[in-house]
Amino acid sequence: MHEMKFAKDIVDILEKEIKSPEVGRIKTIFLEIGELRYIVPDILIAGFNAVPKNKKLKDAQLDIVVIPLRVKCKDCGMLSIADKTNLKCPVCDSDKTELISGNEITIKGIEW
Amino acid sequence: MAFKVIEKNILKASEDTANENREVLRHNNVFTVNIISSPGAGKTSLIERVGPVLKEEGVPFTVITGDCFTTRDAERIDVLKIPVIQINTGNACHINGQLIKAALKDVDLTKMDLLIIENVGNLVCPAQFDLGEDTKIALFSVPEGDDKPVKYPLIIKQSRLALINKMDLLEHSDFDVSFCEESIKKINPGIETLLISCKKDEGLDGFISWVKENIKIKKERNR
Repeated sequence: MHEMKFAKDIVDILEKEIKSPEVGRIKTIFLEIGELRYIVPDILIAGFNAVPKNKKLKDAQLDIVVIPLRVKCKDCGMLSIADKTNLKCPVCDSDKTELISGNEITIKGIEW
Repeated sequence: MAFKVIEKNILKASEDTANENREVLRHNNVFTVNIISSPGAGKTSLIERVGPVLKEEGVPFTVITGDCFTTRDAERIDVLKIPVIQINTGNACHINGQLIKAALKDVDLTKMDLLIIENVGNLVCPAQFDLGEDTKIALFSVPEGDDKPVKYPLIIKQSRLALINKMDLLEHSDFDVSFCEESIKKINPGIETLLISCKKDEGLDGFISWVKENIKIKKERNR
């Protein structure tokens, strides 16, 4: 359900970003979404299509890249892909890990 | 065809509001918890049990309770003469920072040590939104099953405390306490887990001590 709120936020941010006359009708919006965000891309797309938006954004498509969860181990220094349900270092089993990616929810860019 | 790099966090506006709330709460030394659980896990029961004890011990606090459209939770707390503000999210699945910001205008923060936010019953969406709290508290209960931490890891990751409620029902269920505790630790090694029963008033001393300790730490840090 929170996808709807994110869809509205995307429109709010972009309507400010594309005011300049040099920006034409947007074809694609590039998004990066971390695995930890529990966002279902299809629901976000449906939400985005349903949210009211101006002419320049009306026909835009979302291009969503899901970013895997990666942790860096503070003990052995290895960078690994981790499972959502186990953030321990898969190499040395240390629980001292730092989250490197998986939490993003970013508009990377637009194409027109 | 043209391209523009934007690099903007979609949650920026929400995070800015949460940070404003956090600053106001920090300025007034108000330790703030955001309790998140499934519907029916015992958020309101916890406040009903713990509230009167905190009141008796002289801890000044306020409860903000979120619900889609009823005032049932607030009524249960109001009966106990505990200051409570009801937020109705109008079918939205979570409380957001803006709603907390508005609610904070209705309370005298200078006379409070603790703010308890009872979020809408939902383990998915509320975990995504920072309200300006010091920490989230993940509340689970025995009848839900011991796999809930594994199924909803984000809330564990963001909490400093996990509570497992309805321990009085353990004998009637196949809930595996050590599996549940271990899966919580795997996601967040720094988290503390307490086993409680609001119904039988068991294990709640530990929660009360945790709250009082954190109030003390926050005050000392700001001194």
